[in-house]
Order: sequence, then C-alpha cells, then structure tokens
Amino acid sequence: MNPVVMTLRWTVSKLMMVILLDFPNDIWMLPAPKKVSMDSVDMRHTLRWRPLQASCNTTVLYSVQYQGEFELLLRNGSWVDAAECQQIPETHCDLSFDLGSDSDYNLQVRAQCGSQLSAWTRLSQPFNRRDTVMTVPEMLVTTAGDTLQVTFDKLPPLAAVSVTLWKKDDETQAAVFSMPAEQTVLHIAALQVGAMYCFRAQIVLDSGLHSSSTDARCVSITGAVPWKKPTTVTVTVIVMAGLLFAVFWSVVHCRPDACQTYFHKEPLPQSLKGNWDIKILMSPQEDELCERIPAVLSVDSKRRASKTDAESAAHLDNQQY
Amino acid sequence: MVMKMLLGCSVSLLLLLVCLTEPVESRTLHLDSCSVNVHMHELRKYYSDIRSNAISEDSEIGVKLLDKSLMTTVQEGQRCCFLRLLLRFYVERVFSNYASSQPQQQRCSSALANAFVSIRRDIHKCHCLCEEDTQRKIDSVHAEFDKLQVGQAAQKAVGELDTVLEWLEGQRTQT
Repeated sequence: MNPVVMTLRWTVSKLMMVILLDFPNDIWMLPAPKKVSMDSVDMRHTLRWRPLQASCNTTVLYSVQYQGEFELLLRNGSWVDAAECQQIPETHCDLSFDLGSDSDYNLQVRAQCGSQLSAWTRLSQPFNRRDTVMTVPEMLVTTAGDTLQVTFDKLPPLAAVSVTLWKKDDETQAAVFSMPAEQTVLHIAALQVGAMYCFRAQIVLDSGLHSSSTDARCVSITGAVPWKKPTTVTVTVIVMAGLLFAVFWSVVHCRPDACQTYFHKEPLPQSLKGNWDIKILMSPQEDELCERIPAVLSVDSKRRASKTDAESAAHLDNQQY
Repeated sequence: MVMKMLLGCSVSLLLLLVCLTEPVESRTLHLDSCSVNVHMHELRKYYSDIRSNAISEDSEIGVKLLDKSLMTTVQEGQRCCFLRLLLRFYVERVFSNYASSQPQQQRCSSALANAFVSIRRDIHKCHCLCEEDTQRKIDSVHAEFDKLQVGQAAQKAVGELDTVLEWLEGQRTQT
C-alpha cells in the first residue's frame, strides 16, 4: 500500500477517535466543573469546586444536588436540589442544613452558561458528616467563690464538650465533665478554696470522633466573690439599720411636752376664721354674669350686654329667625 | 500521712464534684438490650418545619394511624422490635410517598427520612426479636394506611410524627 494513503487513513481514524471521545462534550457543550471537594469543619459542610475555565458571555452559574441513602435506596436513586445552591455564581455551597443526618450522601454539581448546561460532576466518594474535622474549642474562664465557670464560644451543633479537671501537680486524680454543645457554659462548683486547678477541654461527637484538646489552663480558686453584690447588700443593710434606729430613737425621745417645742400650734390666720364677709367678695362683674342668661333668651335686654355677648346673642338671633 | 490525707481529700472532693454536676442529656436511646444514637433535638427542628404543612393538608380528619395507646402498650422487651418495624413503615411507606413542592420542605423531609434510615441501620445490628403482638400492632397501622389514598396516607403519617418523637423521647428518660 502507498505510504501516503496509510498516513491518511491513520490520520482519519485518529480524527474519528477524537470526535468520538469529544462526543459527550459536544452534547453538553459546556465542560463539567472540576476538582469537586467537601470541606467539613465543626459540622459546617461546604462543597467546593474549581471555577469553569470555558468562555461564557454571561456569568457561569452552578447548581448542586445531593442524595442520601434514603433517596439512593428507596427513591430509585433520585436527587434533591440543594435549596440555597441553585444557579449560584459562587464556586462553593454551604450544605450544613441539607445534610442533616448521619447517612452517607452523594453530591454533584453542574455548570450553566446561559441555556447551555454541563454534565454533572460527582464528589469522588460519599460524604458522611461523622467525618467532620473538629477544631480546638475557644473558651473563657472565670472564677467566683469556689466555682469555676467555663464559657465556650461557637460550639458545633450535635457535639458535646468534655472538660478534664485536676488539682495542680496531681493529674492522676482527674475528673471529667461532659456537657452538650447547646449549653455553652459549664459550672463546676464546690472546689477547694486556695487550691490551684488545671483543666483542658475537647469537643466530642457521638461517633467517638473528637477534636484535639486545648492547652492546659490553670486557675487558683481564691474563694473571693465578686465585690459588687456583697458591697451593695452591706451598704443597703447599714442604711436601713440607721433609718430604723433614727425612727425608734425619735419615738422614744419625743415625749408630748418635748414635741411641743418641735411642733407648736400656730394660731389660724384671719382669712381662715369663721366670720366671713361675703358681700365684699361679690364683684360687680358677677352681677353682670347673672344678667347674661336672660340676655340670651330675651330680645329686649340684649343691648345692655357687653360687646362679645351682643355678638353671640346676634348669632343666636340669626339662628332663631 | 499528710500526703495520704490530702489524697483522700481530693478524691472525695472530686467524687462530690461528679455528683454535683448536672446530668448530661443523653443522645443514646436504650431499647431493651439495644442502644441507638438519636439526635432528638435535630429531628424536632426538621419536623417543626414540615409539621404545620402536613397537618393542614391532611383532609381525612376522622382517621388516625398511630394511636397513643398503641405506643404506650408496647411491652417491655419489645420496644426495640417495635421501633424497628415503625421505622420501616415510615421509611418504606411514608417518606417514599411523601411529596412536597417547596424546596425548604423537601430538605426537611429528606433529612428526617435519612435520619430514620441511619437509626434503622443501627437498630438492625441488634437483632431484636419480635413477638406476635408487636407485629399485630404494626399490621394495624399498615391496614389503616391502606384504607386511604397513598399520598394522603403519607401526609397523615407525617402529621402524626409528633407521637413517634414523643415516644422516642420517652425512651430516653425511662432509663
């Protein structure tokens, strides 16, 4: 055979193969998202993927679906749309509320450019939230009296905090306290006053998975209670006692004759005495006022009334006739 | 001597401490000889989002699938079996036929169904034995379910999940 023909044939078959291999991409037009990964820290599950490199006139949008064991086994492998990750421009999706059980979940994402859709890209292996990575808890420590109070910040849901407490230099005698994450504050009461206590905390999941422990923190139980409350109470008690004493003292020491000097009787002023002279108090204007009423009723006497009265009477007249 | 006294003191102190701290809310249900992990708080949360909808769309008011007396009369030693059969009923018949159009509600019913599947998987490991009486109880639930149209029956059963969750909570406090 002619070597030229051979080469030609070889090229054609190679071309065919390339076309065949590219066939799925031709159907979907758009390449599927790559490097899909799950990032789960402290029970916050975020699916991430690489932004699409293909040229697109508009923004590339992504949609995410998931499938738990229930959907896989009992709903014929159907998928649920992640409610908050449909046609989003971001390249990550928070699925913390969607993956709400200890079941295994399959996840997939696809891209969209205008009306063009890519194929779905699946997460390489099912995700289970039991595999979440737990970080070391952040805590705030306060003491009051013989009580140690540990407050935790941002605890993951569904977890428990385990606090190990021991007296300094005696770590063999450690006690372990456990608290559900919903509670956030742990009180440890009745500690020995004057002693130094050390503790460390870690987050534990039902599955047995746990975070690494915090560094050991030591506090001395001074037995000192915060000053504000007792001070307020003491001051109030002293003031009340002083007041009571003053009242009793005055009751005992204030005999009737002694009281006379403090509360002596003043004579009534002239104006409050009984012999009223009413006539002087009656002003001439009051006389006028008494006459006003007939002025409204009778037409004859209306001229004698004051200016305003005359006006109102005239108004009344108008209404009457 | 002094060391011994100190040691004794600290041991008794720590014992006292352990007694004084509040009991931790357990996530483990003890059903006869079987222990399963149930996130009650989480189930309640997801259920509260679909509850009102399931109840309001339930038109067959006269029918009841799960009677409280049915749950309370489960014999000691049969609770593990009862829960296994009940979960099977919910997973295979109720959630499989429960459809909601809103994405938010789809998410909640999926989470509940998957949670039931994983509890069921835990309970399967226990190999608890079923007596005839327990089987009869569940059969009566299935019989009531079959009387209704499947979609409606599923709706009703989801609306009655309250009873199931209450019973589950009861199993936690009992032991």
